[in-house]
Amino acid sequence: MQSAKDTFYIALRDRLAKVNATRTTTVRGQTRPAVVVDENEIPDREADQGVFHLKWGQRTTDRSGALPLDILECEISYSARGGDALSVLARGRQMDAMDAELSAMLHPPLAQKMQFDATGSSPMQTNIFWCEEGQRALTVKDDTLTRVVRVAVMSYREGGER
Amino acid sequence: MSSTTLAACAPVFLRVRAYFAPVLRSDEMTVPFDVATQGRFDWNTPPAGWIDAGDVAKFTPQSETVVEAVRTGTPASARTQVRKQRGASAEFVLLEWGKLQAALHSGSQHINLLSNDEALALTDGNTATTLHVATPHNIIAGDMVAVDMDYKGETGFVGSGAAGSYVSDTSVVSTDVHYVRRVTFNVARVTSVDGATVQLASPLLAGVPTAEMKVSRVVGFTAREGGDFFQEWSALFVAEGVQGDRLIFHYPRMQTAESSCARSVLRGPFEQWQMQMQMRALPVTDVVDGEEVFCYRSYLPAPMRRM
Repeated sequence: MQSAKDTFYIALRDRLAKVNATRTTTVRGQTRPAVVVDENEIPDREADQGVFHLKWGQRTTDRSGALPLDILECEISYSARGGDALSVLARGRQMDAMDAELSAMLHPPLAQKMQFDATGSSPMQTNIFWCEEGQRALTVKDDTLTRVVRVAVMSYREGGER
Repeated sequence: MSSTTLAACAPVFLRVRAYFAPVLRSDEMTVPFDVATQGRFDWNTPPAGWIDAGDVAKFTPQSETVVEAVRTGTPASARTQVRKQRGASAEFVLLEWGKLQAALHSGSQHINLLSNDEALALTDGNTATTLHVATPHNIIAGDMVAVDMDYKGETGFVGSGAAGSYVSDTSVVSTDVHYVRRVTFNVARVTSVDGATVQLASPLLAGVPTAEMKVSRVVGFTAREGGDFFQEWSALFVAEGVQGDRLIFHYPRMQTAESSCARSVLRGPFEQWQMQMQMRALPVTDVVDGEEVFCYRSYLPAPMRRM
């Protein structure tokens, strides 16, 4: 399943770079598109605003078909808040912009699965595919708006994968 | 890239899109579709002659073929089988409401509601997307127009590009010079007007207009329940798999058999109306071997799948 998780992250990261090249974040001294996988980063990064955070959750496997189908839930969260009087007034627009960016990043809802290792990446034989589930929930805490989007990511398990 | 093959899982499709092409009714000639060379056409650019009707939902192909055993001997045993009845149909819900979709749903003549303006003659230099009309005129951007001949008392199928009706008795329509433009599929949306030059959003179905054709403004459409005429179209239903596979259902000849409106609650008091319908396939003769065929179901697998 690691290849599917890595592929999903890289697909969203690369698509964000095309949709909005100015939405970046700095991770361990490197500036890159603002998509981070929380389990790969130190915990206090969850407070970043303007960054798409991916949290992997529940996993199920459907073994009824010719290949096992792994289904992994991914929670994508992003926040907008004001650091000053002007930013607070623009929170709604910032949130709206990120909503549109995420919609563009999630479409088309598939990507060729890649295997990543220390030497680079190589294509695998299937595509991962995904769908958004439920509503895009919004929470408000103090001056921070936070959106949470749930996506089910599906991947056929190829030979050698776990 | 691995050189090993993978198990061929049952396809997973995100959507199905429908394409239609007019059948030349006088000869029962259909627009050809060769899966081998055209099957991987770009989703948004169908092969020549085919019109994109948009995505459809709940696409359900059905076989109407009935196979019976031929039993002989004592005790009776099945010695062979015969196809007692042959046929095919398909049910689906249209997700777009345009002229073509509404006309397919009606199954019969689909009437263009013409404005009361005089039909405009065409001058020289027309193309399938640019019309030069006689002035003065009152066509503006956003208008819909129907482009076709005056009705002159002919019998048979009428309508340029696709048969919109069949006239068997000229006495019924002889006084209506606009009849062909009322039933034609040669319609388009106007995107801009510059003097006598009218730009269309999409090419006219019949291509470059002839000098005899005239232009009428269309204010809407009407479908009728009843009548004897059946429209006939070729249909392609293309299901795009998430693994790069593709399933194509090609019906060379289809007529609408049943239609209804499905209503679903969108949110609160808002309802969405969608056109659902069933089309019945009619036979063609396959030139390869002379067999009578109703439908071609083709599967283009994803790469490196076991056969």
